[in-house]
Amino acid sequence: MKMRYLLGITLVMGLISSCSTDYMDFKGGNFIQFSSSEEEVYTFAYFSSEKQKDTLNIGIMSVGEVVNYPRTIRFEQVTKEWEYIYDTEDPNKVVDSVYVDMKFPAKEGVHFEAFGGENNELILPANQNEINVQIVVKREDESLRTNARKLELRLLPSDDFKTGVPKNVVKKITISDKLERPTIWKDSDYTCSIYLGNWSEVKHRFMINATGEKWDNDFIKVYIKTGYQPTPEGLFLLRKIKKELEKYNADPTNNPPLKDENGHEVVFP
Amino acid sequence: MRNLCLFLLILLPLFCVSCYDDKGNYDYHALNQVEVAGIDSMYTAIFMEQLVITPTIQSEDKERIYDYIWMCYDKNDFEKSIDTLSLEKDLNYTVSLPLSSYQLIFAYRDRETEITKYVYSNLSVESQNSRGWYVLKEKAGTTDIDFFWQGKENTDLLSQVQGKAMEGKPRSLGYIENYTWTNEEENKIETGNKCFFLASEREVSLIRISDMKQMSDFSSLFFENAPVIAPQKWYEGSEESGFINGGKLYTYSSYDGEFGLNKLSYPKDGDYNLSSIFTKNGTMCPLLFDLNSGQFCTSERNVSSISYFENDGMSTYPLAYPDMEPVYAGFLDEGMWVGGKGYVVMRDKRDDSRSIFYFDLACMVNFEDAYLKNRITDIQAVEAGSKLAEATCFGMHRKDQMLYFGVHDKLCYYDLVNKRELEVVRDNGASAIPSGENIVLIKHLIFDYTDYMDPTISDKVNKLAVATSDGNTYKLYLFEISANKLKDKPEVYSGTGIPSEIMYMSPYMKNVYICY
Repeated sequence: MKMRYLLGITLVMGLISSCSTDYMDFKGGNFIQFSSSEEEVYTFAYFSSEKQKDTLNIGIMSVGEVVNYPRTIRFEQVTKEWEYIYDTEDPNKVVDSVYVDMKFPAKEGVHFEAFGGENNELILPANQNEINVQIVVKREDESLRTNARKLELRLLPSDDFKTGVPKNVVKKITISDKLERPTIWKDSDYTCSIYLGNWSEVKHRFMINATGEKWDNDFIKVYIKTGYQPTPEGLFLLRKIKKELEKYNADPTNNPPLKDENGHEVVFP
Repeated sequence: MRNLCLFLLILLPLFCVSCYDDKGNYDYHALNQVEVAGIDSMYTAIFMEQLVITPTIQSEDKERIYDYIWMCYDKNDFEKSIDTLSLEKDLNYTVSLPLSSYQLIFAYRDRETEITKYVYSNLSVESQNSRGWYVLKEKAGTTDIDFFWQGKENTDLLSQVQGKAMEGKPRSLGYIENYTWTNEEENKIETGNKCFFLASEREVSLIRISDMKQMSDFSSLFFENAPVIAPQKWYEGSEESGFINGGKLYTYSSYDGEFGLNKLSYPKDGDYNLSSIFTKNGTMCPLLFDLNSGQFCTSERNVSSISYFENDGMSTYPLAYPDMEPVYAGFLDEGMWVGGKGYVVMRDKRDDSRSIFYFDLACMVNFEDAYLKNRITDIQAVEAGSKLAEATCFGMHRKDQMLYFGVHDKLCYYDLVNKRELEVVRDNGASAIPSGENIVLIKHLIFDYTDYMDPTISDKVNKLAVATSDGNTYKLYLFEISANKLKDKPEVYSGTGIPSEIMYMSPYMKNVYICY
């Protein structure tokens, strides 16, 4: 009994002294993933025909310890995609899906220059946890003006890495020579719906012609989606576009009103 | 034994607590009584001049030693970032703070007791130009401005600071409360510049009031495609500010960004040609006149075209007066967001006769039922042969229904209630203006500012400004008004040229205080 109380007292003292802790080192595996899960959309449509190639920088990062030796990253190009079958009565309801060959996959040598060697391998240098993969995209295929090509890269496990967060393991890149919807311009987005309205290729082209600006992700971030409302210059450019559209629609030789590729009248909010 | 062990177990935490070292001091005694003298409640300092304050600390215990600090923060800065001005008891500081109103704080700390006490005061940092009377004038076919304040004169400011006056005769003296300037020399953006908008027949210039530096010219007022320069008038407003150029109205709203980043672009839509004659107070829409249609009209924020009035059941006069044009427009100020009464002197182009149009300007206040309704309440024909029919300049009394006007050296007023004209005399019976002079400008200026957080900070001006000129020189009389008379011994200033507009500038000026 005496021993039990002595143990109790020792336990209390132990609890008091246990309030301080030592820092622990990370222990775990090494993972590899893309730095961003955001889809990349690249189009040559903003540039003159002199521009036949461009370089995209795609970040890949490791999760885990940084080591003092180079490590191998493996990847593959995905050439299949899910095709969804919708309910005939409810077009938003998916009733089935099949994994089929991509209709417009990007082809190595035609739409982008080969990278990663024969084995589709990249090297993460020693003492680094991130690399930028430079992917050279090409404009030579004229069909890019009608159909964008999809370059989908998936990271694979290697001797050095397991794959990381699932949504960051695949990178989707669209290569195009026609106007593509900027990823930031979503029809459901509050700011976009108030100031830009629905996206269409014809509308986007009209905006570029009216203002001389690209209205791409970078432009929309700086001038439109800047806070609670666009910048003064952004508001001016939107006003200018509306004025130009009024002028266009007032000219009978233009067969007004201006309609988009889907047959809908081009309007701005 | 068991109870003993339990007792010890309970006692153990108490032992831990008992290790606390009590550093309390139970030696109670009365604190040293201290008073600070020599610090006023309000200081006005001129930028880059010395501010000297010498407080006296009267302490019961003469041997006490203190540490001192003088601090301040900008009252308009929500973060209230503290600037340290001095660590000495006596403040002798070259004022290098931006022009604004500051809370000035003197703190002293007793080294023995480590008690710090604070004395609060107010500091208004102004420039030589922050407060005073500005006169826009014509001088030998050019435009310049003069400055007067409490006996000080600084004339031909544009010629002095920029090396030349503006080309052409004066058109507009306006005010811009917040102009954002891109300082390309130092590659930085400077916000909050208080500016004059100066327009002559051939030039426009935005001048920063603190140092008379030019911030912008005509073309840089616009995003792109500036129109042909033909400036008429500029007005500021809480909702929308406007610039009449070539008969067209260009507007911007500070809701969409400070002017400078925000610019002018397209004129308001419509087939109109606006007169330069208009009136408004800081908060209501302007009362404008379209010379094409002969109709009174206005401009509303977020409406892309000029807005015309419409008749309703309470309208009693026609909407259009195509054979007439305005000669003068003014209003009776009944406060912000209240339209008040408006008066427009109209000239009939067919026979040169004049009429006075009476307005209920509730029709200019966007939340009133009468908004944009025809509220011409009376049209009073001016008798041929009357002095008013010959008047060459006008000015509205802002508080009483008196329309001042000048005929050569006679300052008169038209009683808008009893519809009769009378000469304005001084309270000693003498004529307001000395015989032989020629009145060219009349304006009643009221500035009534009190800081809502500190009523000791105020700036109040109520003067009738009358300028006379022989074409080469002018005199400016600043009268205090006493009912329908003027008090004798006005402030008098003189300059060269012919005055066209006058403005009182205060360091507390806001765009909502400007009346046109």
